[in-house]
Amino acid sequence: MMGRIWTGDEVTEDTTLTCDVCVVGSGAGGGVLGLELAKRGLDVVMLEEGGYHTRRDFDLDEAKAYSTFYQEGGNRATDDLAISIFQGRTVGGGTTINWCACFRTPPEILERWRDVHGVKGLDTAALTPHWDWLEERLSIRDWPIERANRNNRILWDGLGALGYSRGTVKRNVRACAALGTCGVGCPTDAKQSTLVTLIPEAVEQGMRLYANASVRQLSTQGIRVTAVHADVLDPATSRPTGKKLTVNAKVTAVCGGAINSPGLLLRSKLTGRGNVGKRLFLHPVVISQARFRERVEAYSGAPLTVYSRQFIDRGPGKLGWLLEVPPLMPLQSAVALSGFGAEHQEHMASLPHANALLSICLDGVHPGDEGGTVALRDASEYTRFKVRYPLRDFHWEGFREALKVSARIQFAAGAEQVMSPHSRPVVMRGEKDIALLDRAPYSPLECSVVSAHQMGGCAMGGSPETSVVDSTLRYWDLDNLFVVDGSVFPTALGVNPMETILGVARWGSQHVAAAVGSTA
Amino acid sequence: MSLSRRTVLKQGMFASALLALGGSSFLALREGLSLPIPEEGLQVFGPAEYATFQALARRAFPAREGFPSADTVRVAFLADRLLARGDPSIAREVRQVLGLFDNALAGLLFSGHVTPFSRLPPAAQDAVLEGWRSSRLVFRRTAHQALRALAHAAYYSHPDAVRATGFIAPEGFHDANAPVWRGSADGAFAGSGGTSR
Ligand SMILES: Cc1cc2nc3c(=O)[nH]c(=O)nc-3n(C[C@H](O)[C@H](O)[C@H](O)COP(=O)(O)OP(=O)(O)OC[C@H]3O[C@@H](n4cnc5c(N)ncnc54)[C@H](O)[C@@H]3O)c2cc1C
Ligand code: SF4
Repeated sequence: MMGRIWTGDEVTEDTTLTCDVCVVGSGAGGGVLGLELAKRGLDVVMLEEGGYHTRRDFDLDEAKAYSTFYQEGGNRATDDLAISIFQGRTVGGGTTINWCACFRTPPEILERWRDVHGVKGLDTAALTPHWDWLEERLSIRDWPIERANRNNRILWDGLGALGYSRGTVKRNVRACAALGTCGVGCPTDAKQSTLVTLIPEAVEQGMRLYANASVRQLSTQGIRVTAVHADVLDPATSRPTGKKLTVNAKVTAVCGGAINSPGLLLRSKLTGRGNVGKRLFLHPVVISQARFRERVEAYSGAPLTVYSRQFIDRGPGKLGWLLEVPPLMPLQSAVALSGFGAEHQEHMASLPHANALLSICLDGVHPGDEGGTVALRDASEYTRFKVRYPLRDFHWEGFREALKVSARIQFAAGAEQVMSPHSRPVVMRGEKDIALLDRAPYSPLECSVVSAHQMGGCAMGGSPETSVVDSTLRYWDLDNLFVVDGSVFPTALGVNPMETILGVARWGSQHVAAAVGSTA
Repeated sequence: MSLSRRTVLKQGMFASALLALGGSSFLALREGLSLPIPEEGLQVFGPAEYATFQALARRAFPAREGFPSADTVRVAFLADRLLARGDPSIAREVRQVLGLFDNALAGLLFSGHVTPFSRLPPAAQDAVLEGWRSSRLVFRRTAHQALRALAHAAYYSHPDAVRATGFIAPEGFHDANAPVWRGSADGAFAGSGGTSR
């Protein structure tokens, strides 16, 4: 079988394909799975609703990038808009537009999945050979502090000055020119996304990839998925062309990512005994912005290279967080940073002097923290889901404390001003002003929250009463349906999720392959 | 980035009732600002929504040295084009929000004025915006966030606005003619991936 990549404009009539495995989605999970199955000689068809965008399209134009390569044109959010959600929608999924930070899963998280959620066989020992392979294949290497940009250096220095733990981050890059534009697509192919690594290799092995193919539904009969139904989209507008793509596969693997994978199952009337769409985790993030006298140029240089997990565990019942910095591209900063009118212009005018700290909060590991939910919206709302994520006192307490810590770190590193993410920002000019954060309002839309790490929605677990997939990633009630992406996580991680998803997908590929064998 | 929307107006009985009332009342029919339609035409906004959004943009981007004005950037026009690229349901909701935002009855209820937002003097417009931003009603804060984010996304999609921030995109790395590989018929993949067979 000759592999190839097709785009929506090439599918000019209704088409039916047959294959061993239909992989829905081409991101971290789908990319790995597609290659592993193709390498085993299986006939794989991959469907991706995003376009096939390559370095030719990565022209660093932010407005185009968000509206083209991101879910809902960069506008995904919870229903009340209180949490903005950034997620990829392009061949390579999130790996094409993410910031290249790679972490292995913290062992305590895998232990929790085993002890609390009943997951079997997925521990550090099981994942290590897969991570070793992936780190070699995707060139995942430490980015030493000597190469950190000023934005990351500020975090490093601030942490050091306060005696907090700190580390450098591994990145999946090869000959990276440190442009800082990872979030809008890498123009040099330095980023070792699945777009430029595993997917081409899978295609060379015979995989057929259809971009602009939005899977709307899975047909089932008894305990089997019988067909995968996709709308073909116009690559120029991303609207349905009216042409249909149907795939009849022995096995189907849904790899659409958290939010979309549960969404697809729900559209297919697969509710997993009420568990589909539950336990959605977002790693909710609050951003502390600082201004320095000197130029920081946080839009330039490798975006994310320093971290601290000093505050990840604050004890029972307390939200903990991971500290990192984001790149500050103009459009993204304008939307994400607080303020309005002249005040906002003032911040934008000093963008080259701005630094920002992310507090990435670990959700789903405390009693009663069930995260959010995904549900269906009106059928006419083609790309949208009803995402709810109730923010409770528990979250706000954590956000407030995280902002205080961030401000301290920024001042310790020499900030002349620190600004909170409130819709009317709290402006602090020195340590003594940090107490002002205690008096600020903490409620939806008064303090802005964002997410770039979606997990859960099709939780893996030990019982069909509490989870959607079993410990082989198989949907509990169907023989030939698997979910292989970040949506299977029973909790969030407390580190950036890509490497965990890649590892789980490579580990899980054995189960998907076995299911083809057993049904062939 | 996060431009628009949501079921902004579906959030709560009060908002729905207001919308229904707003559509039928005398006050609701008070006309807002009128602006010439861009010669390229509009894809999403009607003339009234276009003018309301541009009025808001003038407050979002007050005159500042080095920064282009909201009118130079044509914020409402760019917002119209951004919305046209997204899911039509988002555009529908933004239009509803703008309708309510400029609605004189809503103005009367929320801030005690019967002049549509787009015709108020600048200081009064700022006060209205502040009222929506800091409202105790979540749906008003949601509406403010939707319009604010759309305005910021539109304005900072313009190269002059981007330049004003001091940002300079790295040059010499993007190749608009880079070959697009679709399979082995095109030769070996020319990206950076090796193979792992
Ligand atoms: C701006 C940004 C920065 C980030 N930075 C980092 C980082 O530095 N390190 C890190 O570890 N993580 C980072 N992440 C997160 C990381 O990229 C994601 O967690 C990861 O890519 C998720 O993998 P996935 O396989 O679950 O889904 P995705 O990678 O999102 O892939 C899912 C794919 O499925 C497609 N799809 C969905 N539904 C359908 C359907 N119905 N039909 C067909 N196709 C469908 C989607 O279009 C998408 O391409 C970042 C994310 C963003 C947005
Ligand atoms: S920082 Fe490196 S990986 Fe990211 S876009 Fe620039 S060259 Fe590519």
